Formats: sequence, structure tokens, C-alpha cells
Amino acid sequence: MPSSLSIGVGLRHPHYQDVLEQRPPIDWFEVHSENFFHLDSPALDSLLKIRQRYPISLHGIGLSLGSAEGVMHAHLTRLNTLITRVEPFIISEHLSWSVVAGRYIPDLLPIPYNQESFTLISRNIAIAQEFLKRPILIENPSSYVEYKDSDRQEVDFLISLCINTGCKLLLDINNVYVSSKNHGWNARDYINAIPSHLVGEIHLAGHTLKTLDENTTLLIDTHDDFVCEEVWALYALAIVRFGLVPTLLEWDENIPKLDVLVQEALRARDHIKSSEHA
Amino acid sequence: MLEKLQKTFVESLYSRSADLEFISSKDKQKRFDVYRKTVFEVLRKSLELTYPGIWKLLGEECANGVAHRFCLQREHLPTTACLDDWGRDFSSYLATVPELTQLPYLKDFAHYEWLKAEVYQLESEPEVTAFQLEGLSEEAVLNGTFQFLPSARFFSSIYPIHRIVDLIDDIEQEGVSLSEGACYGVLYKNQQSIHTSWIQEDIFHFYSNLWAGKTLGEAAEHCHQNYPTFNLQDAILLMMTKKIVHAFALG
Repeated sequence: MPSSLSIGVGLRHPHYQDVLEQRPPIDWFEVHSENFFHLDSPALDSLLKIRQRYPISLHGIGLSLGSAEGVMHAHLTRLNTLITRVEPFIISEHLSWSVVAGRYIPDLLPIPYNQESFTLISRNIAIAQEFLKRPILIENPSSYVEYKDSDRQEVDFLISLCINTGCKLLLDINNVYVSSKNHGWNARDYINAIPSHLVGEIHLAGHTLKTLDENTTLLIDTHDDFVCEEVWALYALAIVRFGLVPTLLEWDENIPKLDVLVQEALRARDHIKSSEHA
Repeated sequence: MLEKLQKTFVESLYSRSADLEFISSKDKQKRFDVYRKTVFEVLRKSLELTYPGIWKLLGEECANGVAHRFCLQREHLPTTACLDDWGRDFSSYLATVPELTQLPYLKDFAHYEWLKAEVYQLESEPEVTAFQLEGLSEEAVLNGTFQFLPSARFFSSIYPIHRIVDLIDDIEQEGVSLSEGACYGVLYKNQQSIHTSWIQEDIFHFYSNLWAGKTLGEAAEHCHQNYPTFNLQDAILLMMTKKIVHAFALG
């Protein structure tokens, strides 16, 4: 276990210049891979300058590992080229799908948890890892619906995927919380079910409460607010269970100033101290 | 089964009357609306980023409505997960919207904004300098060909798009008369910055001929025939000072 926690922040366009000028006290940054697929863009130019000072993690949102038609070779090729340029220390993707008939649906859509999708996603992850010549991390999704075709728990599906393919888990604590509330799962049971050696990174983020009717609410994974106390409490549990796993704060909407973002990310250290004293 | 499920899921995004039989959750319509909203909002935002001037010209409410209608046509879905690649068809779509027929310049204005977005992603190259042409005979120069920057894109319109661009940037201006006529421009990227040079019609056609691979002499002759006042020296000087060419090859 490392002696200190490695804390990162999701790097978004409004902060490129601030990061270069202020050099915030953060250990690493994570970006969405697809935002840098154009290799001559000013955005990649800025990222490579930041890369000279900070490690970078590439977090994909469009590989569509859950697509029935398989992963797109052209996407893998662009990702691989970006990897060569950026030399990330982590590469991650989502347990989701977003491509049908060669058309991209810009969302992380849920998959049914059954044998058919397990076989398909195992194959797609294996293809991706073979192409990229390295293991990747898979993030647990936030979701708003469950399928009739599912016949197993999401967490069991993920654990089996990791064991079957050699990939690791990017455990998004906010997603665990959001999906647990939306579907009536137990978030602590979810986290406690995961073998400690499988978690390679943790995500934290904020969410929004949406009222469906008088008796029903839904949590939406909006990444537009501070991390709520319930998620911090689950994070403390996760750190006790998984050790000092690299931890990232994501904030994608209503993005605050960089110093606010950094301070919120650094709160992760406070929660570790709290959990040590508990 | 998974393939069928995913196709049904996407069809349901476009149909509020879909029965969503594949979902077991309660309140499935309201829950599924989250996906409908997210997908179309991501696409709308992407268009707004690419076409900020269209949003200013139409106003937010109207532009959002037009964008939503564009996105509701399934053939307009992106073909890659890199949304920087997506949105080219929006400019020609604007010309098909019945409510916008009173704004005939919108399509060209949108095309100009698309070119800016495209140029942003393209490669910058070192520029050629006048020094590299020194010492060559006039004949050698006239038989040579110029290579434009890979990012160079040519733009023309029968409407004064350049004046509309100025109008959007400067709210003090009173307005633009479409009778001001055509405009011609070349967009390019240098030092990670995007530039637009608005140029005369004769120079535009001279550059277009060079772009198409004609020699300097051929392009100049073509322009002299069609534009009696065409000045070759001015055209070359402008090209060099604006740094829109990066190589010169002898014939």
C-alpha cells in the first residue's frame, strides 16, 4: 500500500490555462480520451504541456464495450495513437454501450447483466486489451433502469469480468450510490463484495436529485456539484477495504474555479484520516 | 437478443409512445426520459459549441428548437464517438427548415462556422518565406506550384458573411444589407490560432486555382483573363505575409 493517497482531478477545457499557470497541488489529471482524438488540436497541445508536469489518465467514453456489434477498430486505432502521444499511467473505459448500426449514441447506456452480454463484453475487453497491449480499467455505471433480461447482480457481473479478462475495476463511488438509490440496492454490500485486489482507481463526483412524482425520486449522475456526505462515507469504507487507491474527483457541469475543484478533491485525504481514527 | 435489445432501446429514444417492455423498473417512462434527455442535450450542446454564431443570430430558444429537430432525424446521429467530427450536415439542414427561409444566408454562415471548427482540429505547418524564392528565375517561379497549409480552407458566399461576422462581434453596428453582395475568404491555422483572411474575388480564384494544382503562371493567366485588374504581385505578397502556404515546388 502506498504511504500517501494519490489524488487526481478530471481536467476540463476551462482549466487548461489555469493548470499551466497555477500548478495546483494535485497528483495527476484525467481527461476524456475522445476530446483529444484530433492530434493537431490546440486542446491536445495544452494537454501535452500539462503532461510534462503531471501524470495523465485517459478515460474513454466511446469505446462502447457493450455493443452487440463489437468495438470499432477505427476507435481503437485513434485511442492507441493518443496513448502513444500522452503515455498515460491509467487507461479506463465504461461498462456500457453507445454504438448501434455504426451510429454513436452520446450516452453511457446500460447493459443487461446476463450470460450473453458477459460473453460479448469479455470478448470486447479482450480485443481492446490485446490491441492496446495493456490491461484497462472498467468503470461501474450509474443507471436509471434495470432490464427484464438481467439475471445477476451488477457487482457480480463486474467481478467476473475482471477475473475473466484480467482488467481491473474503476470503482465510481458516486455511481454505486446513485444506482443503489435508484434500484434499491445496498451500496455497502456492493462495495464489500468486491475483492480488494481488483480495484485500480476510484472516482468521486456529485449528483442531482430529480423528483419523478410525489413518492418517487431518482438520482441523476450529473457531475455538477460537490460530493455528498453519503458518498464520502462510502469512500471511507472503500479506502479501508481497498487501500490507498488513486482517487479522482470529476466535475463536468457548472464547473467551478480550479481552486474549488482542487480543495474538494483534497478532502479525500481528510476522509482517510477520519477512517484511520475510527 | 442483445442486438435486438439495443436496436429497440435506440428506437425508443425517438418514440415517447414506446412501450419499453424490456425494462423491469417502475416508472419506466420517466426513468427512460433521462436517457432521452441526455442524448439530445449532448448533441444540442455540441452543435452550439460548433455554431455559436447561429445561436446568436437565431436566439437561444429558436436555435435550440432547430437543433432538436435536426437531432431527431436518425440519419444525423454521429458516426464516431469524437463529437468534434460531427455536425457538418447542420449547415445544409438549416436551408431546409421552412421557418428559416426568410434568412437565406444562414446556410452559408453556418458553413463558415463549420470550416472554423474543422480548421481548429487540423495540422499547422511551418510557413514558407520569401527568402526561399530568392535566386529563382521568373520562368522557374511561374512554372512552380505552391502548397497551401493543410489547414487552409476556402470559403465563398453570395451574401456578405464577413459583415455578419463583424455584426455578431460588435453589437454597436446597425445592421447588414444583403445587397452588399458576395464575400470570399480563406481560413487557416497558424501557431494554434485560427485566422480568416477576407479577400477579393480575383485573389480568391487565383488561390483556388493554385489549390487545385495549377502552376503560378497558369493561375495568373486565368485570373488576368477574367479579372483585368488582377495584380499577381499583390496576390503573392498577401499569400506570403498571411503565411497560408508552406511549400513551393519547382515545375
